[in-house]
Order: sequence, then structure tokens, then C-alpha cells
Amino acid sequence: MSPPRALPLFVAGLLLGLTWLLVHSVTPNKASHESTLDALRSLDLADAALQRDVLRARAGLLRNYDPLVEAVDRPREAVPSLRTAVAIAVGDARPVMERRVEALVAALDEQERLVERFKSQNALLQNSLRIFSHVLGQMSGERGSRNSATNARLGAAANAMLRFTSDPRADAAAEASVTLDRLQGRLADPELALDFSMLVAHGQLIVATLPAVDAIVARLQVPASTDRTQAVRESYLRAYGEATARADVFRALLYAAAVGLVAYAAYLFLRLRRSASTLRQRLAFESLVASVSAKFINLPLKRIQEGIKSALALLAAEAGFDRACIVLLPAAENDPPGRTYGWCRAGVADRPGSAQQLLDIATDPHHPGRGPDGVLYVPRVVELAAGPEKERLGALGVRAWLSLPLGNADRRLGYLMLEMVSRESPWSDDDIALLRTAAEIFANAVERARSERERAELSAKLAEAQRLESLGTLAGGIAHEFNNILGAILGHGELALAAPGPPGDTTRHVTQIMRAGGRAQSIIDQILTFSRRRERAFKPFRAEAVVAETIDLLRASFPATVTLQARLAADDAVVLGDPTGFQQVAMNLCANAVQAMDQRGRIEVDLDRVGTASERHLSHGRLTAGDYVRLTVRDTGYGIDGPTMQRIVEPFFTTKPAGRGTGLGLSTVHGIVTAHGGALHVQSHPGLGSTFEAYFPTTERPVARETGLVEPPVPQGRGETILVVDDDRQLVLVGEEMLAALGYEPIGFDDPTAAMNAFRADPERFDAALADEQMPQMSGTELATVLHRVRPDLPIILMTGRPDAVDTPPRPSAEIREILRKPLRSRPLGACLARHLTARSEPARDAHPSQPQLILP
Amino acid sequence: MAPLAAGAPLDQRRVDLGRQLFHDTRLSGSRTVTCASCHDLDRGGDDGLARSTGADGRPLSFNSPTVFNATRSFRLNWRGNFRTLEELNEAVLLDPRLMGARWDDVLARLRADPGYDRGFARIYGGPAMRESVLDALASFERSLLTPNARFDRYLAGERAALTPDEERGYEAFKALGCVACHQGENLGGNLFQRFGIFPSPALRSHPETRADLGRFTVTGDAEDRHVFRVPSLRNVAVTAPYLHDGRAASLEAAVAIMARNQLGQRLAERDVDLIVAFLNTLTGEYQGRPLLPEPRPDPP
Repeated sequence: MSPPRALPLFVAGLLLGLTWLLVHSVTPNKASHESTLDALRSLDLADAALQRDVLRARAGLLRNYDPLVEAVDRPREAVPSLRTAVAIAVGDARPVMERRVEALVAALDEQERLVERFKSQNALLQNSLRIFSHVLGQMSGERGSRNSATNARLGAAANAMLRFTSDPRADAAAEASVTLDRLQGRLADPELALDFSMLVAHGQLIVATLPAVDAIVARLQVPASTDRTQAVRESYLRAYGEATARADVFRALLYAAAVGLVAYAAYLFLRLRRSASTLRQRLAFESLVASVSAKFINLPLKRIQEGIKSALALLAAEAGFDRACIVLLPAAENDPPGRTYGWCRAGVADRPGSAQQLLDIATDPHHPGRGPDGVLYVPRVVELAAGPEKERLGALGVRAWLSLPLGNADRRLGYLMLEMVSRESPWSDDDIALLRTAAEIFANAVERARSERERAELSAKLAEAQRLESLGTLAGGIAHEFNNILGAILGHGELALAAPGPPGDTTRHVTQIMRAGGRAQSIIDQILTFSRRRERAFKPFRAEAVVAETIDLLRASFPATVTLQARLAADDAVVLGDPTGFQQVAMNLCANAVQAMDQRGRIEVDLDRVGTASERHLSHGRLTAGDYVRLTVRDTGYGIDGPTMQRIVEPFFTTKPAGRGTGLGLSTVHGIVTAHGGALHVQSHPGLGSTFEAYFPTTERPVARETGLVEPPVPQGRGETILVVDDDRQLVLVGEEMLAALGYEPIGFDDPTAAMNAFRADPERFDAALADEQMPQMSGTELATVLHRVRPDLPIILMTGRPDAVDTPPRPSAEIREILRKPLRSRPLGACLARHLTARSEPARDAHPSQPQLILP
Repeated sequence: MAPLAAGAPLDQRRVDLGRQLFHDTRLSGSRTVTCASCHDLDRGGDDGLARSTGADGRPLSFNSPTVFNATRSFRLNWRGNFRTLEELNEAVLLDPRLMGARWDDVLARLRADPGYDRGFARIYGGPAMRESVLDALASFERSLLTPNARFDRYLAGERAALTPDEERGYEAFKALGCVACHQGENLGGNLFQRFGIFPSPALRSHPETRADLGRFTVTGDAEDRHVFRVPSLRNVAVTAPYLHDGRAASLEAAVAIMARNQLGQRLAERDVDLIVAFLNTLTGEYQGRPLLPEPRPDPP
């Protein structure tokens, strides 16, 4: 169709053209043609009438000149219609015809002039002839002359006049004139004088007039106007014939234009009908899409696959495709291939395996036919350039193909692919847009199913995490209590061993007690670790260095039947965290692997850097976008079955026989990884081994000074007086013993009020204070505040058995220099006191109290 | 000879409008004269004067011809210098010595008159224009026919319509040759003729005016010298005085002059009387009443 702006111009042009044809196709007006022919006829008739009447008048038969007037007037009446008729002639013919008409008019004018003269002259002539013969008759009758000579002359004059009138030649005129003159000259009779003079006068008039009248009559007989009328008629009829022929041509053109317009109207009608039917189909399809969409909204999740299948069949059948399929992509990279839905029109060969092949084409990122929106449209497979795509599609019998992506480019869910096998069907952009709407429905359904599933998984994970949390809290609480008890055991053990005296059985037993206590301490540490009861001093460290060190340690401890293959590719990746915890993760995972392989097989340890652009859900935990160091430990062991996988990080969950494992290894790993803001991902196939991936976020901060595992000797005191406060009398004693062994002078109290009073009594007596935080009478912090008020420079160290407590009140206050973990151990205690007492003795070097630090045992 | 035929049917509205214009002073430049001033329908269609006085105060060249039956003359006026009533009317309207009008003035005056305005709008579909004014006037003048003269009834077969003298006069009219020119339906008015075929000494001695040259002053053709349109003799009895310059006060005088100069006859008084008696039978009727030389006295 023409664009809307051109339409009025087109219509105006068409109307102008048709009007032009119409004007030219009009045959010369029938009425005016008749009137022209009438005019020409009336000219002939008038001419004939004029000829007749002139002759009759000349002969004296017509005495009434009205007919002559009419015969002259009538041709003049015909002139205007002839002048009008000239318009029919075109080109050179028109001036010719105009000249002919004007010549005719001139002839008519001349004719009229002659007729007027004829009337005047003839009136006189006829009258004179009548009077002449009348007078002559009278004179030759009773009133005639007696004079014979007169009579003879009269007779001669009559004869001469008779001759003249019958043949009016010049000599006859002269003779008549002479005889008339003679008649007058000889006139003597007065009675007859009047008659004679009449006779002579009219006779002379006859002689004078008759030749003139005859000359006029003769000229009127020359048919000048007749010839000219004939010439005009000839011109007119030729022009009329040409005009008729011309009109015929234009009429034919007009007819052709009409036929053309009818054809065009028919074409428009057919187009309209086709458009209407297309529109109807589209509307039907749209309403189908809408109803399918509505159905999906209300469809329960478990029936959604069924719904997709039936909707695909419904829409593809309605849209007239032969085959259709929806191929869903896996939700995550490593997931198994997604689900495929297929539909095939009855009577069309189904190719169940075709979906994957088509998907390869659809996902080919370099496909030239792809639209910006990811739509791939092959209207005619035969027109494709020769290549694998054409071969593939050809082999599948596909003749036209359309692939519509589901979901957006960031989150591609899959493809809706539509095939034509029976014919090539060029789909218009509108069709494709409509099909895209249909694709949206599928995408939404898939998306919804996926979201629902993810939500279910997430809520399961959340429940699991909550369970772990409560387990952790329980275990943490128990561990804390046991820790205190263990503190007493180990403290006394240590003191007992340090006591002078010869070693004996008792020494050996105490050593055994200390060893068992150390194991118990390790388990409690692990419990505290996974339950995240333990805060660690995070610092930037190079992951690769720690892993390398750990592997060296592990190699030494592994049996020869296990090979350990390490690929460390993290370069300088720095992790902000606890290197010991990191090391523990590596060790636990490897230990786990060795056990899973029954002490034989290969362990692969990989360390690399990975980044993720979007949030990822792993089997245990969730990774936010960012850069990570990934520690992978892969074994070739038994693998883990589904139910086990669910509980793998649960504390005290173990598949090993009772007594062989604590069930804390992976819990600890999980706890450490989670504490670092990382996540754990476990993949396993029973019988094929397992892969554990631990992700730690990397940092840009520079690596802190590397500290080895070499421990310096415990610094000794120089007899400084230390105030020791704990509500547990036993622990006061242990503390006092321990301080004394370190070379200090301890003064212990099991009541903070007593300690406070003692201190107030002589504040300068004490060089440092060591107080328990959790005391019923007064918290260590409160005590510290009082002491500090009295002596601001006194270093105060808190002890606590509940590491979580260190987070709260004591930390921000300036008076507390450091917080030690209970049970007290000689080495950390000695180092701590040495630090603060040295600082006090050299106040200029460290004016500010150092930040409280949590020291690991 | 033929009786006066009835005219072609006319649009009565145009005739009435024309009649109004014919009697309207607004058609003259000075707003003093109308067509009827010289063509008084109550005086036989002329003014009864030998020659009317022109707008400049000097007498005009020709005797006013009657307007009755003018439409049946093949040419108009003494010299036959007009073929149609429209041409003649326009010439008379614009002639400074006659109506002395200008179209702009006339049309403006007519358009200013609501009655005319309505009339012209109704008949011609617009305001008064030159063409419509001329058409209305001519339509009216075409209606001015005077049928039913006694002579017409005689020709139609009613022998008793003429007295014996009048019938004798008709015979004389034919025998003397008057009929040579005064023939046809109109007894003249259908040809030109020279005045003075047999010029009498009196005619020769008559001082020649420009008007006496006749058609010559129109065509310039020497043959047209002294040639005039032969006037119709219908209503001749009520249109005295006679001849182109009104030189004959009575019909008798006119008959004598014509017989002498055109036919070369000196008529006896008896013959003149008979012919005059015949000429008296040519007076026709207008609107059902015979024409009169003078306005009818108002009925008591």
C-alpha cells in the first residue's frame, strides 16, 4: 500500500487522469452536431428559397418581400452555430475552418447587400412595368390618340420596350430610350400629356432599372454562398469525423482505465481478505497464548512439566508447525543436561534425537543468522550456504527452522525450536514476535519451576544450617565447661611434672594424664572451631605457601600406598584469615581422603584461583560474586552416597566404626571455611571418589610478615608481683603455681572484693593484675575498671573460658591489655606478661596501650 | 398582403419588467425622460411631433417612428441602421441627445431599488445587468403588436370590415403602385427604397439636410443616397406627422407627396381621400383597444 501521505496525491492524480480521459472521450455533442447540420441544411434551403423567390419577384410573381427578408435572415441565424461548431476542429484544421466560415459570412453579407438592392430596384421595376403596360393599354384603348403618327410612335415605343424587356441588351435599351424620347418630344395633345409623361417616366425607369436588376439577379445566381457553405460543411464533417475517432480512442483508454481499476479493486479486496484471515489467525493464536499463559499461572508446580508439554503441543499445532521442541539448559555449568520437551504433528516423522543437534546450532555463538535478541530464523534451509548447519538440518528433513531463546541473555533457560518439514513457511516479523510471546510463557514457567526448586533447596539448606548452629551451640557450651575442668587437670599435671624429685611411676602416670588431656584439648578445640566459638586473629597470608607447607607435613605422615599429587596454581593469591585454620582445612580434607580410600590410592590436591560474576549456590554454602582461592582435594575412594552427603558436615556424624573417627573433621573444615566467608562444595559419586572444594575469598591486602612455626623460649619474670583473681580457688592455685614457675611473685584471691581491698591498701605493690572475667561477685571487667581508676598504668590481663565473651565489654576499654584463654597455659601466659611488663618498664617506647589481642593457645 | 401574425410567446414577467423600465425616468441621464416620452403608447407609439427636441434643446434629425410593431420591421429606424431592438435600445440609452445615460448610473439606480432588485433577481437570477435590462426592454417592445385592424379582418375574409370607399381606396393603393413597396404583413418595413424616384420641383427645391441623405450616412455607399427603410403603414393614421423629418403634417399631404415623388403621379383629391380612407383601416388594437392619435380622455 502507498504510504498515507501519498494517498491523497494518488487519488487526486487518478481523478484528474480519469476526468481528462472522460473530457476527451466525449463524442461531439449530439445536439450541437444536429444543430450544426441543421444550420448547414438551412443555409442550403435558404439559398434555394432565395434563388426561387428572387426569380419569382423578378418575374413579378412575388410581390410580397417578406419571404425574401426571411431568406436573407435565416442564413444569418445559422452563422453563430457554425462559429461555435468551429471548436470541434483541432490543430491546423481550425484556422482553415474559421476562414471558411468567415468567407461564408462575407458571402452572406454580400448576398444580403445584393438582395436589398434587388428588392429596392425590383419594386420600382415591377411597378413601372405594370404602370407602363397599364398606361399603354389605356392609351391604345378608349382614351387612345386619334393621331395616327402618335399611335405609330406609341406602337414603336411599345415594340422597342417589348424587345428590351425580353432581351435587355444595350442596343435594345438605347432603342427603347430613343423611342420613348421621341414619344415625349412629339407630344402635343395636352389631354394625353399626363399619361405620356407617365409612360415616358416609367419607361425610362424600366430602361434604367431593368439591366441593373437583371445584373443583380445574375450575380445572385452565382452560388458563392452555396460553394462556401459546401466548404464549411466539408471542413466540419472532417473535423467531426476526427473528433469522433479521437473520442473513440479516449473511450477505449477510459475503458482500459476502468478495467485496470476493477482489477486493482479486486486485488485490494483479495489482499484485504487475506489480511483479515491472517489477522483472525493471529487473534486466535494470541487468545490461545493468553489462555495458555493463564493456565500456567494457576498450574501447581508438580504439574508444570506436564503443562509445558501440553502447551507446546497446543501452540505448535495452532501455529501450523510440524515439529517443536523445548530444550532446557542445565541450571548450573556442571549440572546434567536439562529436560527436553518434544512435539510432533501427527503424520510427520519424529526425530527424537534431533533436539540436541538443533540446540548445538541454536547455541552457536557465531551463527550469522542470529538476531540481536537471540532469535535464529532460517526461512529456507535450501538457501543456506553449504556447511554443517545445512547438512544437519537437511539430514533432519527440516525445511524451515526457527529458534527462540527462553529467558534473557544473562540467564538463558533454554530454547524453543520450531521446525517445518512439509513446506517452507516464511514467517513474518509479526509472527515471530507472537511466537516470542509464546516463548516468554514457557520461559516464565521454566523460570518459575526453577525458582521454586531453588527456593526449596535453599530452605532445606537454611534448616540444615540452623540445625548445625544449634548443634554448635550445644557442643560449644559443653566444650566450654569441659575446658575449665581440663584447665585444672592440665595445670596440676604441669605443676606435678615440674615438681622437683626423681621421676618415678607417678611421673609416668602424670605424663599419660597430660597426653590424654592434650587430646581432649584438641577435640575441644575442634568443637570450638566448627561451632565458631573461637575468634582468630585474621591476617593476610599467601595461601599457596601454607598449602605447600601442609603438603610437606602430610607427605611425611601418609602411608606409602597413598600418592599425593599437588598442583598449586594460586600464585600470590592472598587470603585474609587464619593460616592455621587454612592449614587445618587442608589437613582435614586430606586425612579424610586417605581414610576414604582405605589407605590406598591417589589424592590430588589443587589450589587455584577462580572468580564468579554472580552468586553461586554450592552444595554447602553460597558464594557471593568475587575472587576466590579454591582448594580442591580429589580422591579415588568409596565416594559418598546421597543421604550421607546431606549430613556430611554435621558434627559427630561419621561413617566410620565407633572409635575410629570423631565426626568433627568435616565439621571443622566447614566451620573454618564459613568463618572465612567462603563455602564448601562437595561432589561425589559412590564408587568413583569424591571431590571437595573449599573456597576462600582473596584479598588485595599485602601479606603480613611470615611467621614460622618455630616457638621462642618462654620469657621468664624477674620477681614482679602479680595480682591473681579467680572465683575458682583451684584455678587461683594453678595460676599462682604457674606464675611462680615463670619467675613471678603471685598474690592470689578467690574473691574480687578482697583482691580490690588488698590492691587499694597498697596499689604500688603490684606490677600487673590477672583476673577471671566470669566471676559471680564482680566481672573481671568491672574489677579492671576499678583497678585502672586507682592505677592507670597497671597492666591488667583478663582470662576467659568463653571466647565469645571476649567480643563484648572488655575489648573496647583501654585498661585491659590482653585477654587470655582458659585453661591457662604457661607459654602464652609468660609471653603475655613479658610483653606488658616490658612495655611498662619502657613507657617512652610505647606510650599507647597496645590493642587487646586474642592469643591462640 | 397578409394579416398581422401573432407574436411568439413571451415571458410575461420580462414583459412587465420591461414595461416598468420603459416608463422609468431613471433610464435617462437627466432622470427626466423615459422611453415613453417619445414613444407614448397612448399616442400611437410616437410623440405626435414632427421631430422631438433633443437633450441639447435642438430638434432631432428624424421623426420619432412608432414603437408599435417595430419588432416586425426587418431593420429599425428611418435609416434601418439597427437590426435588433437591443442594439437600438442601447444606442438610444447612451445617445447624449436622447436618453443620455451611462450604464454605471442606470444599473446603480436600478440596483438601489428593492423592487427592481427583487424583479431582476427573480427573473435573471442576479442584480440588474446591461444584458438583462436590454432584454427586459426588448421583451416588452416585442409585445407591442397591434393585431386585429379592420384591414386584417378584411384580409381574413370579412369583406364587410371595409366600407366600399375604403375598399376602393385599397384598390387605388394597389393600382397606383403604393403596394410596390408597402407590401407584406407590415405594409412596408421589409425593404429599402430611395425617396424621390420622380423628384418633383418642390422636392428638388427643398433644402437638403444631412437626414435627407438617408442610409448614405450609415453605409457611405453612393447608391444609398436618399435611401430609407420603407416604413410600415400599420397604424399610420395615428402616427402623424409623417415622413422622415415629419414634413407632412397630415396623412393626405403625405399620400400626395409619396404619389408625386415616388410614383410620378399627381393624385386627384378623390383618390387621396380614398387612399387615406383605406389607410385608416390599418389601425390595430393594443390590449384589446384600438390605438388613438391622442390620449383617451379620462372617463367621467
